[in-house]
Amino acid sequence: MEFRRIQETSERPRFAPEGAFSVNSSLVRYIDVRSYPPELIPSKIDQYFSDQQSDQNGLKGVAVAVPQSSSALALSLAARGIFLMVGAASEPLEAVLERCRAQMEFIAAAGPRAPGFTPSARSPDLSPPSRTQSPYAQKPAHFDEAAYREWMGLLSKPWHEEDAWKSET
Amino acid sequence: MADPFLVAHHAAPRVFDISGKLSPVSVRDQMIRGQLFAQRAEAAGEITSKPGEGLLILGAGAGGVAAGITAASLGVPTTVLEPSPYPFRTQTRCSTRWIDPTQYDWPLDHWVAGQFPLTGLPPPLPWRSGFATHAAAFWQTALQSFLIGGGSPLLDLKLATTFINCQCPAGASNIQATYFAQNTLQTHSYGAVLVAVGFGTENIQVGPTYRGFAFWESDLFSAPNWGMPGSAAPRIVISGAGDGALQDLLRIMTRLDSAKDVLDGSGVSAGAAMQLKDLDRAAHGAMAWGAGPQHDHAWHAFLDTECRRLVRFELQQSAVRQKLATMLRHMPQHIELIHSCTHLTPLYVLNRFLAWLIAEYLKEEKGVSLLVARTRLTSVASATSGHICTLSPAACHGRAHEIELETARDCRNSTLPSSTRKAIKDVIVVRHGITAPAQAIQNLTPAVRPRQILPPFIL
Repeated sequence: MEFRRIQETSERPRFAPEGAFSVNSSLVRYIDVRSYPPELIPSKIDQYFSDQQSDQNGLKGVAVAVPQSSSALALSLAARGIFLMVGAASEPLEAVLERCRAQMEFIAAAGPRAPGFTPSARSPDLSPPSRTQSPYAQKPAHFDEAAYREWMGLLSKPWHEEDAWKSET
Repeated sequence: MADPFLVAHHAAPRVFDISGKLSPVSVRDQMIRGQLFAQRAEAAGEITSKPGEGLLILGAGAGGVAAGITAASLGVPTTVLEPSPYPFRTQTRCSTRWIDPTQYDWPLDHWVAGQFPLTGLPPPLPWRSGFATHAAAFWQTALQSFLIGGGSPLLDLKLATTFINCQCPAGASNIQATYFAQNTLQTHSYGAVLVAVGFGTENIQVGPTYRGFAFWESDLFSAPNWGMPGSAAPRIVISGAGDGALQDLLRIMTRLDSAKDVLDGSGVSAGAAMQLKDLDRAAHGAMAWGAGPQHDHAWHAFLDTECRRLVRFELQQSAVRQKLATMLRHMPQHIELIHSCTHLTPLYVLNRFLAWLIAEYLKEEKGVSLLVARTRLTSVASATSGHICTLSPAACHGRAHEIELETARDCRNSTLPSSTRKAIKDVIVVRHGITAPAQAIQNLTPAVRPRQILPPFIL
């Protein structure tokens, strides 16, 4: 599918609900799904990007949605090469895409996050001891079994109790 | 030879902790700790790309996700468990707290840039100064970009997940962790577990019914007329003398968002900046390795004395006084910061210096006592007809409350005749520090020092 070039005319909004915009000197496709019912959003996004190849960074495109109560959609889309950008339904699409552009360009300018997904080079002389001999596999000298059990209990407590006040804001 | 960073954070067989008692440290410090942990654990062979030797991280905050991205970028399969529905929840929900990766590095070169690191390896979660919710948006973008850019198979964020426990007999080659995710109880093997769950509970409640805004909560301190209805002049009290209390004091007094902006607007000389940096360095070294109230008291008193000496010098400059007059022209008419000892207690000298700069200026110029020592807030009760406090800061904000103040002992616990007084306040800010987990749990990592900021050049 050809990218749809956005025409700046007085008869139509600068950004249509589907189209492409420029990020880091390349055109990136986007779809605005803010007007769709939540249950239809994933399928609409998948359908729109189904024929889209990823660019060299793995990016297929950007989906614009209303703020989500969970990051689950963002994470599942990211696994499929789609970036989720959120914006209030009242926010002009142009402004949302501009924020998206600014954030992505800032992140790209800061350098690559991933040095190749390969383990760091280790000198053969510095090979670690066997895993069972590792000092970190042993109990530290200060280890306290009772404190450790209490700690595990705290870590498994529901977070809602711990900071329920945060939900008031 | 064992890695000193790993040894310091080693809490149990194959379990490491970068949260617990470290407070107060910065968001940036947590990111550095997370990144360093992943790099060192991978280099030590504790976490690898082999099945069952990956990394499990508890907590998808800035530190946990920084560790996760770093580990995954080194080829280590990494799982991050987060009980809430989204990562970075603390900052995501806070639209009024200004955060800055370099605010307290003044006057190092990267301070002006507001960006960290200025050079060197890119951080897993790049950000620049802004309100917390904006910083979190950058981190969210970085996280999604990482997953899209090839990180997805290696970094698995499990949201709305409940951690159950982990088991690792001494000498085991893996640790078994159990958690409840996607409606199923799962047990998996990992090379190591990293705990990155924060520092404990913030003390913001006074009595059974009053609670102030938390540090990471969207507040009303920057709203027009400080959130008061109409044009009524608010009567404001801030209780506390640490960094949170002083940050809020500066915000409320100047209507500026950050200490950096206040400093920029004050016209303070570069010479004072250099002296403060020396003080800051000394304070970070000394406070991190302090040994109890006597030590802390002496250091805080010394730092206060030195800051006030610098302040007196700066206030001799007419340009500084003029700029302070401009900056404080819209300050509230009735405000005081009460603190329990004779000294302030921030970790960052910049906050301490600016609080004293404004306080001494107001004392000389208007005869106003902004900082009230040896005073403790002991109770808060509604003094507004029809209003009942129900631990809801937004509902209490701007309404008249009767507070009780008690003459306090100093932090060395010396005796002092106790007396009380009452006052009416409309805005009550409570910054009484953080209660870390129980001492026994803190002792699981005795080598880690609280109040220890990692140097920005360590990576």
